[in-house]
Amino acid sequence: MSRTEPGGRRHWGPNWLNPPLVIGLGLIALLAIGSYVVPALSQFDAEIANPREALQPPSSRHPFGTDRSGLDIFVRVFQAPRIDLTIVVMGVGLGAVIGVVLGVVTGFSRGIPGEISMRVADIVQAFPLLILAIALVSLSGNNLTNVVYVLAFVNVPVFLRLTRSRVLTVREQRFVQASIALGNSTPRLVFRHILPNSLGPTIVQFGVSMGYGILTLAGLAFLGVGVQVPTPEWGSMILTGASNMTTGQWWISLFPGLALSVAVFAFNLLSEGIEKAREVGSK
Amino acid sequence: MTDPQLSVRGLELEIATRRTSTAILHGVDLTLATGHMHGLVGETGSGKSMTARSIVGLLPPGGRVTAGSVTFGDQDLLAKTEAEMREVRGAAIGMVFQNPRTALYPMLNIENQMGNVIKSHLDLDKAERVARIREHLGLVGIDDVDRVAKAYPHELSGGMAQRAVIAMALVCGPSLLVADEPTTGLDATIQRQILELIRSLQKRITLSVLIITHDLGVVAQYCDTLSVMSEGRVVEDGAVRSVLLDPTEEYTKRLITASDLGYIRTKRLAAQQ
Amino acid sequence: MTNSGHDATSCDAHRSRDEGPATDDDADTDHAIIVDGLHKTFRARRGQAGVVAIDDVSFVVERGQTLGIVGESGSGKSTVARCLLGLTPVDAGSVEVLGRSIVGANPKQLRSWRSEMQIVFQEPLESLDPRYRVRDAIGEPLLLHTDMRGDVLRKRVDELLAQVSLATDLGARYPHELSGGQQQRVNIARALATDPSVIVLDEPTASLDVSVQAEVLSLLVDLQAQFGLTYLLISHDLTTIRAVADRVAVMYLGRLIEVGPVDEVLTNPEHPYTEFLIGAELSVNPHVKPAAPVVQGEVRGGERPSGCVFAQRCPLRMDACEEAQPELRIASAGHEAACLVVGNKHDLAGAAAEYRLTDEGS
Repeated sequence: MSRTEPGGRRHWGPNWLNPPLVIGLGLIALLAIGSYVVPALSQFDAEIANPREALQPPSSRHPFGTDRSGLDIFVRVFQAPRIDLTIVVMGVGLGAVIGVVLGVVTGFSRGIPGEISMRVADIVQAFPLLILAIALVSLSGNNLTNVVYVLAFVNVPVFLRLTRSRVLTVREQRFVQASIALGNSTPRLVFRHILPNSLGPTIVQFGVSMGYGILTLAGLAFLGVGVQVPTPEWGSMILTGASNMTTGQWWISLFPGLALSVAVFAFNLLSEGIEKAREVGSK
Repeated sequence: MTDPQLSVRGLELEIATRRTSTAILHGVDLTLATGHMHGLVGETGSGKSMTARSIVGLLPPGGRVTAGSVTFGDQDLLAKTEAEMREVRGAAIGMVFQNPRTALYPMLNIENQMGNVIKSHLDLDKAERVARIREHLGLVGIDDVDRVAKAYPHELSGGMAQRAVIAMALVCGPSLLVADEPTTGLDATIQRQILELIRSLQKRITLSVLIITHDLGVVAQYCDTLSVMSEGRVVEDGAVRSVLLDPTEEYTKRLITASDLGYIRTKRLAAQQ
Repeated sequence: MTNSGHDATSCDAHRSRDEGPATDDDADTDHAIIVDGLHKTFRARRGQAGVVAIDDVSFVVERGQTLGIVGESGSGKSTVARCLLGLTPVDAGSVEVLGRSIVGANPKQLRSWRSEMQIVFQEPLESLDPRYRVRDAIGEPLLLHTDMRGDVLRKRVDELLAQVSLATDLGARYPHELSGGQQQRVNIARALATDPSVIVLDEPTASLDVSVQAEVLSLLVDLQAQFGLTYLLISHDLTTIRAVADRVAVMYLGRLIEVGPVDEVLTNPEHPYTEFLIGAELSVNPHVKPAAPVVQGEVRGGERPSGCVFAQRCPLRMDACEEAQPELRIASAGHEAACLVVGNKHDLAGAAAEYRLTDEGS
């Protein structure tokens, strides 16, 4: 079962089956699979309006009720992950990869580049997120690809900062010097020793950022950025139903809101689970 | 023979966590004669530090003495409340720990720290306090008393800081000094300075000293009596001369051999023939 | 195979730079390590002054021998260890290990040379990547420098574990699961993996328990005899040096102030500081009293003296001592010390008894 090449790889053993990871992954999988299975099984289409059944409360025909256009909320809630999960995973993922790479580079090399990158990161992070997003999208067009880029852009500083601060600590540790003394080249040193020991906080952050990413996407959708009506997406569903709260149609916002919470929760669990699986004892 | 300064009998200590309870000390006996220096020597986990902490009542969370007695002069230390022990510490028993710079409070200069110690035990006015502080700083071999009194811990070198700690431990006039690894981490030449200082203090102000250390050489050269500890028990004890020159226990013999390293030298020279 | 280091060859080989190169007969190939005129100053940073760590240090180590470098804080001994293998860049001077010049070496070449020169650090746990199992840690140098893979590599790792007296099933563990002594053995096994000729040992046992220290030192001595290893041993502890080293070099504030065969230097020290150092060694035999009086003062930072680095604390100080740094003078075969009193009888104990540090009472 052991690998023939030493390289610090972990075994896929019991550690990977810890509760947070299993539950988190399970929920996400359910949401992902459900986004295709539920619409296929449902008699209603998520995007074709049906005005005669508008604003109906939850019933056996429409378990989550219908919205202003008569669209079945149940189907829409379950189909939304096609957008919500995909876009957010791609966006935050891209931002994380770029942020980590930059974080390692600026953390490992000494001197000016590190300081400059931190100040740039400060500036990007200081901008109100949604205004930044709107500005970027209005410059380059209102489509989902740009939303991915926006999400990536705003996530880079977080991951850069996190990784860099970890790398700064790790690089001073004795085993790094020992690894150099063994004959490791700089690239190998970074990939085999520094990076694996610096990723811990990043992985946890990924889960948290996924949660925020979904919320960001929702906020953008409200402003008409990215997701267009009638594509189902939790954020836009919540926000178009918001005004209906005062007129008593509570179900239009509630169910997408619940789904969103579940998704955010699932990602947090997942990242907690991954870190638990990665951790090597008492460090 | 006068009454012993410190007498520990059958001390048993356990540390309780939420789930379990671990016995740390299994019946430790120790006698320190007045004016003597007693070495409590052992390796990591031997229980030597825990014994010292039990004596002065500074147990870690969950620590409980389950049996035994600790008699200091005519006082039963284990029977005292925490408030009573606070009066004992500093006034009757002075303490010195490893790593002087971390044992000192970083935010106050030496004079103020020592002043606080005096205030909590003695009733002196400011002038008397200042005089007493300077006197004690001089006592520990500090030449530039003014500079050191006004200095902050991080501004002092290791040896100087340890002298200040010793001065602080003695400023209220205790008769017993408990020193836990006081010279570990200091350069060898500085270590010797500190040990010589302690020995000269013993003569000048009639001080009994309990020194906890892993270094058998320190005990051999500076202590009158010693206890060798291992795994919460006293393996062997007695006068330094008899125990170290004629050890009876295997563990003691092994410790002496390991401290001396002579056999390694012999082996090396033989291999070169 | 090893020579005792007392004869003239080793003394001649260590000559002052003025005298030019050694003769052809002085098999320079006998010297595993040649260090000449090493200088290293750490630049001043915010809040800290610049520090001269190494000031014109030169020494040689013969193949199969152990040179112990002893000193206290600020002596520069650890810096020497780092500079030796090119882990810290030097400001001036040359370092030759196994005939190869380390200073200014091409990085790729230097990396390939590392298979023959290794280092073991003071901190056993911190020297190991916490995410690597023991067998992966030991196997890494084999991956870097050989083409051993798979079963061949695994066998070699098991062989190394046996050599340092560790059970093979410890290979699957992580460093934090091992005791300090075991961790250090892993470091030693890793250092031995590619059959090096030179191993630098930087305080290898300082953070271990007394009995474990003895075991590890004993192991190192055995390995040296078995494989003809050359050791550069850095230590603050004279007892360790006495046990393991053939020759000893004493450092103080970046200067090499005495060097010679271990027994000779420790029995007949020439430099006052060496005498004080020996006096600080506390024997476990209560009848054996310290051999020298207590030294005054402490090593201090601040301005470097223009004369002898130890003059400020030295009971035998003369005016001439403060004019210039004394050069190493020959005291006997292979034994040199950088002090103006070399060769003259001096009474350190007498002088020290009257001596009192006159400037600020540090």
